[in-house]
Amino acid sequence: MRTRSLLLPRSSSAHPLDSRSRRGVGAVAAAGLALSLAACSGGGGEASAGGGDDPMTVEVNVYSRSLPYFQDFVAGAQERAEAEGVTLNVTYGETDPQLQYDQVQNALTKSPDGVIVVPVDPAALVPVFQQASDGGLPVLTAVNDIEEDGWPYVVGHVGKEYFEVGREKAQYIVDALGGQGTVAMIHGIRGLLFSELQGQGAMEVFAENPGITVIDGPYTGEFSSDAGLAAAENVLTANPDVDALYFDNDDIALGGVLAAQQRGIAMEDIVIIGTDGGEPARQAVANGELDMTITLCGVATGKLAMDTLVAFVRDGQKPDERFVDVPSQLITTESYEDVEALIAAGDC
Amino acid sequence: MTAMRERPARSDPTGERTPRPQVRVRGALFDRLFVPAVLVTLVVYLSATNDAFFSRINVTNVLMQASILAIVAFGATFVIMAGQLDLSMGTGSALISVIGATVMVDTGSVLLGLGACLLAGLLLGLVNGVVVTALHVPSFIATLGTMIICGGIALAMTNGGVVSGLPAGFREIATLRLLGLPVLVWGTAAIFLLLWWLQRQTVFGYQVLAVGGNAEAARLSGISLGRVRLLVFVLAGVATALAAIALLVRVQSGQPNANGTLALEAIAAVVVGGTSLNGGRGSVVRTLWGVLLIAVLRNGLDLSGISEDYKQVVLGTVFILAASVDFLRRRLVRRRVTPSSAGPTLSSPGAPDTTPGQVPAATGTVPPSSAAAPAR
Repeated sequence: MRTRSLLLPRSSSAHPLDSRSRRGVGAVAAAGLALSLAACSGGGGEASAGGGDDPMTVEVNVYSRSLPYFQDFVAGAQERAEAEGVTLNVTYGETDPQLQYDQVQNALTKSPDGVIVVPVDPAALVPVFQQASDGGLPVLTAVNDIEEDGWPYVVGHVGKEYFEVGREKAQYIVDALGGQGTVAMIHGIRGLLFSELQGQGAMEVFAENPGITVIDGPYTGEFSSDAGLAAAENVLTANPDVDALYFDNDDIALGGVLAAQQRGIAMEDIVIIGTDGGEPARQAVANGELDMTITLCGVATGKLAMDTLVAFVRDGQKPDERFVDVPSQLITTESYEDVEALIAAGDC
Repeated sequence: MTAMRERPARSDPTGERTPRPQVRVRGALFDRLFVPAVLVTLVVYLSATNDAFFSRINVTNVLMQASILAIVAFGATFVIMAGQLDLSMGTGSALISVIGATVMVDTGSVLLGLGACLLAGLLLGLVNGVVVTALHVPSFIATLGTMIICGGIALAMTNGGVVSGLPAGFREIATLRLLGLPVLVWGTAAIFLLLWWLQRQTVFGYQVLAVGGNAEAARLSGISLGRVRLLVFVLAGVATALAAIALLVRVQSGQPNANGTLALEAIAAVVVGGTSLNGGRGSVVRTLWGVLLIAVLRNGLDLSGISEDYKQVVLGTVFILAASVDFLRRRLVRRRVTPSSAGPTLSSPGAPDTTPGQVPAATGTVPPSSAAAPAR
């Protein structure tokens, strides 16, 4: 512990403030950091072997503040952290890979006991993770997975495959339409893995079902109901005989519900689905407006991420599989009450 | 009223409008009709190639989709004509929609919610205006600051989630139709007419152009620069609040993540319409054309189903082409003038109503620009 506090000022003073040569200076700082971490990691390990009452600090860097899902994730992690006596420092990458790179690097200079990152970009952070790994500092990724060349440097990944989410959603539509019909897909943000991977998964299932015609619709550019409404209006104008509307997020899906209602389409004549399962979307499912949404259980994911990291830091216990799968929950009129109960209990 | 209207003309010291009326008319016509002509061409093309485009429902949709952008862009027109920028209108409208929705949900009163929206808009405009005029912060930075602040407050109030469950009364008003058109379209039209009147028929409208065109000349002719600049930001703040109300009408919920790029789109619409980004020249009518062009283009691209990536390429290209008409107009005017007549007056190629910003110092009625006082 003493070595750590002695080394801290040096590594933080080397922190890149000059943006002109950020990467270069950053690399120097990281090298110094790796040395300092290597020097103190042994001592830290011995100290934490004592058990659950040892004070532990975990740095959490989350994708963005602007989506309720990540607030749930932080709340879940916070809850487990309090139970385990862990101090949590939370920062937000705000969908900016550069910003997140700097934030995670800053977090490493504080020499925490572990880091949980929800990456904005699957590749950008790999060098930082490598530095952390070289310094013996455990990093766990959550929700958004990173590319394969970064896997050796992290403890594991806690989350749900977006590709699988897309497949599940598409299968729901195929079943609801009895394998026959026209589906319009309205995406959120171009290039966002959440949007793109769900779309690819869904497309794969639709392709397996020859009775399904797919209209690959527009991207709304932002997750807001107004953007979803405008996109759905235009899709319904161009293709009046659509049987189902696929959205990759609930906020835009709720705009789709409004568009269908304004066109006078009865809610039972069209299948509309989203992803996230926030409060307004669950209400819309209960009202019979939204047919289905899928929640990726932010609170449960946050809890599981914290538990996985704490188990590794305290007991050196690595997860059995690199990918720790978090159960997701389909929310339909049938399952609505069960999921509400799960959420109320903090299990989703 | 006529006396009032002449005031900015007196403040325009060039005194050179008589020598070349013909050129002015031709240049101005080309300038004024370019964007409407492009719009009409686009509408004709889309109607011919897509059966769905000119349907009643789609025309309504285009007008609805244009409404929020239109309201913001009308407000932004005044800011830009005064030589300023307001970047806070997008996230500002998201924040105000959250405030309005929260008040409506908590109190159950539609009127209180709308009042809260307008109050918040006024406050936002005042803050922007005071920071720009009293603290002398450039408007780009001042409103960039409030833009970031508004986004932060909206997220803090909601954790990023939407605020839904507005009173049933609001839904009834929002879905009202008059003469076959939604109430939102009428509301937008009313805002347009009001601002058009404000620009054309009031002293304030001319003062805005005078301040944006040549602040020093405007100051010497007795216009309070600070007052005019403050007022355009307050006007923009109110427009932001009205856009927030339009957002509530459209989606029945407060949206913290909405309108992220709206302020930039509004500036694009204003400039595409033909208002000069340098200030001093423009009108809300031009902005109306700019907004309609963007809305029709967006809608047409969506209907055509072309790939998202190319949509962005098309949209960006149209922005550049439409905005470049200003340069083309100048070239056109210059070519017509140069051989036929000569004299020092030609150093200012623009029509008098269009470029008071280019007052040549040689005319002698204004002190040299080196004497330019700070903005007050």
